[in-house]
Amino acid sequence: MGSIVGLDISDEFIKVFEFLPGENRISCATIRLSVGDTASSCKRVIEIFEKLKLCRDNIVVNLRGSYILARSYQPPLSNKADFEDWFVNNIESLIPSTPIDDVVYSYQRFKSGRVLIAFARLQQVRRQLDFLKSCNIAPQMIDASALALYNVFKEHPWTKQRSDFGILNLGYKRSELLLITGGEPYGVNEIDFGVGYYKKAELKNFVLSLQSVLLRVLSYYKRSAGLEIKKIIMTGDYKRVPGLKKNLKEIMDMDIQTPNPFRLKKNSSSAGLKHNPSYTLAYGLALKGLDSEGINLIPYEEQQAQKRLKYRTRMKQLAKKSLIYAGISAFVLLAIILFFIKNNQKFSKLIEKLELRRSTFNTVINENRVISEKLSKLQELSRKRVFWSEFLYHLGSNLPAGLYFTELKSDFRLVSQGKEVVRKTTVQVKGKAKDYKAVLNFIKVLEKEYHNIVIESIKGEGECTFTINLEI
Amino acid sequence: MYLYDKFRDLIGHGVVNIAVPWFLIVILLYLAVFTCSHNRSLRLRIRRLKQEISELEKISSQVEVSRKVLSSPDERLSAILNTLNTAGKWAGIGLGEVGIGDELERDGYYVLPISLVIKGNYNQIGRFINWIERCDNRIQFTQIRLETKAGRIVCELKGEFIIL
Repeated sequence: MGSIVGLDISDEFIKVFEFLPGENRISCATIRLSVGDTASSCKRVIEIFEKLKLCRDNIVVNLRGSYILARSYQPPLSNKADFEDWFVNNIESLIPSTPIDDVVYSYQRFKSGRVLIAFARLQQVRRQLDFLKSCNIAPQMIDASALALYNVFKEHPWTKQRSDFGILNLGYKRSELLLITGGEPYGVNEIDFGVGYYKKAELKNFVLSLQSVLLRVLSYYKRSAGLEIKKIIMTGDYKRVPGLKKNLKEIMDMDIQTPNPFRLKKNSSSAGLKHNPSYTLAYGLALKGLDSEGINLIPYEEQQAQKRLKYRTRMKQLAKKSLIYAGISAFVLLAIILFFIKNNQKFSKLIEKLELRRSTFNTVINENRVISEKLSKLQELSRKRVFWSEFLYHLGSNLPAGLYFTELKSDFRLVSQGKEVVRKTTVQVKGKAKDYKAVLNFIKVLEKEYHNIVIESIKGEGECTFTINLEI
Repeated sequence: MYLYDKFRDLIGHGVVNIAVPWFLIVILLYLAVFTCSHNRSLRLRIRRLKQEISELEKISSQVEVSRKVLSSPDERLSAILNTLNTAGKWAGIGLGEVGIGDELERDGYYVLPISLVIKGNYNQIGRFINWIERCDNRIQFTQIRLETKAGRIVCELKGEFIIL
């Protein structure tokens, strides 16, 4: 989060307070305004903003004056929707004798069910906005009077104890008294009295005047709301009146404290902030900017315009970032696309080459087909042929003792077997044997392997000749 | 540009300024994916072509071998004589009479009739025939005649040389 600026605007001064949450950086300044000379006042504001390099995005200001009304009410209905109905119906009775169209209003609901309602004249709000606009300032929020003091003293023990007390913010010519009851703001009162009167009167008279003003206000609240205020926190420019706290305490018989507001908040650095109560309200406004909640007297149309402007600014920033990322992404994607295009071109050329090479094999494929056919035919023929070496080996190895061949001849003829014509090979074996038994043994051997064995002749007693026909 | 400005006014500057570049990015992304997938398909095609070519190379070398098996018409006679001669040397016998006839047509192929006479003992003749049957199945013997003359076996073989 960026820094937040609170501008406490009065008729004579603008008190500026800037802080950066979480960091030990603060800036504060007081700008003296020239009454009736808006141009020179603006110039001074711009100068201070430039000199201190103040942030212009997150600014919270307040609106002072008798035309401001801020009070809390206990509405009869606690439901939000019902309350809004009640508010719309009763708004005219809440601000008597003022046309509703001339008023800007805002409200804040508290946990207790009470509702703090703030009204301001539209004309006055616009005047302040115009002044700020001429100073190149577009406030994020406009708070009512000194309500922001509550943000500063939220952590004060009296608030935590839910005591009834007042916070007196002494200004130069006007002061404000914020009343706190039950730990929540009750209302804020503008007082036509300030430290500027101290120059004209003695301390005693000044204290007596202040006492009478305070008693008048407090007695009013005692009568109207039954508030018994016995404790007061004093802040603002009271240091300009030495001994004020002591004298006021004695005269009013009240518990009056002047705590250092910067020590109450954890998110500000007490080391960096000396106890300068002049900036308490400006500090409270900056704290309000931190939460961005509560009373906001910026007219509804202005708020909408601001929202639109904020949205546009955010969108512009987003568009810028998006453009950077899109640019990087586009660069990477283009690089990838170019890489693949180049690669694809290379691959296409390679494919052309490979296809050309493949086409050279077309003749080989045809030749291979023809050769395969021929080889299968040759294998088929080879399967059907007679293996003479095997036949001769078989005869030779099984030849019985005392038997030998004199002649061996083969013949073949073509025989029809069903629809097929097959080759039948017959072999005629002629030979001699020492006896009849040898021939018989030979025939036994032949019978194991061959069929259609025909003994054409066996002649002789003792040594005999034989002729045997067989089919293989 | 006019239309683009109108469009921006209608939708909103921020939305358009963000949407248009990213729309272009989406198109680029699509192109990148497209070129990438095209690249992948090309690579697959190259791999397939290379496989095909390597198979074709294998077939080509097989064809070369087969060509040698199925000798050309000009080399038929020399192939027959070479086989017979080699077989005779291996069996240790000399070739006698060798006769090779004219080309005859068979059922879808041609043959050259062969007749030859060899002399040797039983084993030598067996080895001679065995060598031919093992080494060249184009020469197929259909008839055999063995006769003993003057203590030696005279073998007359008739067969065919298959021409494909």
